[in-house]
Amino acid sequence: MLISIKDLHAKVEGSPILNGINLEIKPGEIHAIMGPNGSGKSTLAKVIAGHPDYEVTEGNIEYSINGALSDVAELEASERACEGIFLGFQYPIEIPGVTNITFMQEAFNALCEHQGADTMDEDSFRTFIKTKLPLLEMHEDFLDRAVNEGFSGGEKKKNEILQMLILNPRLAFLDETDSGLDIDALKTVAKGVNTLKSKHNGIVLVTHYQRLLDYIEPDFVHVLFDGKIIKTGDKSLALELEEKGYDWLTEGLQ
Amino acid sequence: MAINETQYSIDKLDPSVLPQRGNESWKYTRLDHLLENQYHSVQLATNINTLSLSDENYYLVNINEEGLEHNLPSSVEIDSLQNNKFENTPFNNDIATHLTQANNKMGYQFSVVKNSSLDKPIMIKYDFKNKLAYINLHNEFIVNSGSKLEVFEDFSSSVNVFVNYMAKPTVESNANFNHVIIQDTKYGSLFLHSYDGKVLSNGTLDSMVINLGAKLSRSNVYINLADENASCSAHGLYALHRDQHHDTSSYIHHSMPHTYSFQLYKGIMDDESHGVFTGKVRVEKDAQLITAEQLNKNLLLSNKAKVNSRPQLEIYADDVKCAHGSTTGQMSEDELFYFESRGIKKEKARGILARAFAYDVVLKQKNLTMRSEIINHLIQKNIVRA
Repeated sequence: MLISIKDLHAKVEGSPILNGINLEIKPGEIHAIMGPNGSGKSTLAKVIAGHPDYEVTEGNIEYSINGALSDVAELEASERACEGIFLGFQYPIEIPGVTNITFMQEAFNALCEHQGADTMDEDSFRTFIKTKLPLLEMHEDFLDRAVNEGFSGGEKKKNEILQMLILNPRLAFLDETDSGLDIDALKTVAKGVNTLKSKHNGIVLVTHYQRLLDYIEPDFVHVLFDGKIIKTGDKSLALELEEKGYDWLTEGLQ
Repeated sequence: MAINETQYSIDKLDPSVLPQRGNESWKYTRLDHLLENQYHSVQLATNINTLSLSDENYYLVNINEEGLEHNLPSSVEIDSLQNNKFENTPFNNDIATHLTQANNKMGYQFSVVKNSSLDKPIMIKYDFKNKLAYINLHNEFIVNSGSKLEVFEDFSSSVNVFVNYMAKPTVESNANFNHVIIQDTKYGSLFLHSYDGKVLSNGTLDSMVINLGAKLSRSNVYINLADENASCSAHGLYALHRDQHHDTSSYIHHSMPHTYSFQLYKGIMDDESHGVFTGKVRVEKDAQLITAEQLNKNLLLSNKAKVNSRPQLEIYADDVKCAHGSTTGQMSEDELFYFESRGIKKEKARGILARAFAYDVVLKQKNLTMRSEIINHLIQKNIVRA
């Protein structure tokens, strides 16, 4: 087991958003989480990543660390990241004054330090990261621009995937990585995600649309509504949702 | 204006000459503790000697209690100043100017001959060794037409001092002056600084003032764009912690048409420090088709730090491009979380973000040797500490 979420309740600024989530992910699995706006998808991603504004009120998140499931409640966001939990942001943050390469090098070296591995200097890191750029059709210029500043929507999302590939997480939670992408960018992003996929990694795709799942095939599709998973199925569920919407599932629940 | 010098003697300072409550220019900064009279006047010697030492990055000028020594090339002439004239500037009635006038004997004039340029910048190091010395200094920089000059003035001190420094650059036509002043005196110091710059046709003055060390510092920056196509940049950074207090008062004067000014002032305030910025841009009636940009940004790193920012525009011409802005805020939680979500600890992220905030100003320095000099000060000062 990679992560086991049991009866998770969470609130932000006093309002309850998650109302009892149960979810288990094994290494090698790809899960898609779908659901209408405001159902708690992004909140779930942020709670797992350890955003300080989100408070877990009930239940727990157990994550595999050194081969055993451990409660992550006491781990800071940065510690969770060092243990291999990655959050791909729906709205990647712009950081003026910090170059992309510095940001990624700091992140990469934080991980190395945590694992007791050697850190990389800028030259060797640049050489390393350059090998990842063609896959995402990114130009080297990206490395020397301020993080996400002036990037188009598609560039920002590619930049998230680039960071993911550099950090090679065990659990990647990608929050609406497909939103705002044209079809070419979507394919490129999907290619990046599929590169991460292995029998050791778990990937969670938070999405509104079936079309991403044409390129990244999920093992499970969950429907989140009102802070709970109300239905789980295989990839055919996504097609069914595309066709019928959510009403047939949510009727009588609200 | 004639002043009564005895009122400004540091040993018998007349309380009435200090900025009073109600003096708008000094609204947020008090000098009352000058009356506690812990400083003693130190008259600097005015010898000018040759320095045999050399440095691959800079021409060197050392100024201390014993006088000046230098290894400047012959294209730069140095003289000691005697009884200078003071032109009419908006800071003429300021305490810092008055103190300079009352102690109008100490200073140097650096003059670059016409149409010359140096192959490396001049580093002027002030190294005052007398504890609690009160030092008045007044330097003029004449950049004659067609010349280029780069000067880095470094006020560091290992003892507490009270320095009142006036820098007076004149940039003649088609000349170019790149000028950095860094104040990194010991924490208990007091630093008053006046800048009286004048730029003539097609001249460019790039000034950058970095305030770091002193417990209390004040910069009065006046630049007069006195002829057509004169331009200046006036950038500043103040990085404060503990109970440090810094006050920048900037006044850019567009006297003539087709003049251009660009200002970026940034402040980082930690602990219980207090930053003040007042930025005035005055555009005279006939000064059409000018561009003036001014931006003041402040970063508060603690809940007890504070800042007062006052942008002021006085525009009498009607066809001008003026932009100004002021922001003050704490470090963004979203930015911090983005770092944390990538495995970077919050404290480290705070350090990186504070440095990024400061580098915005530092990167305006185009001379890379001078830029890395500034960065070294920031690192040593640990102002970018998390």
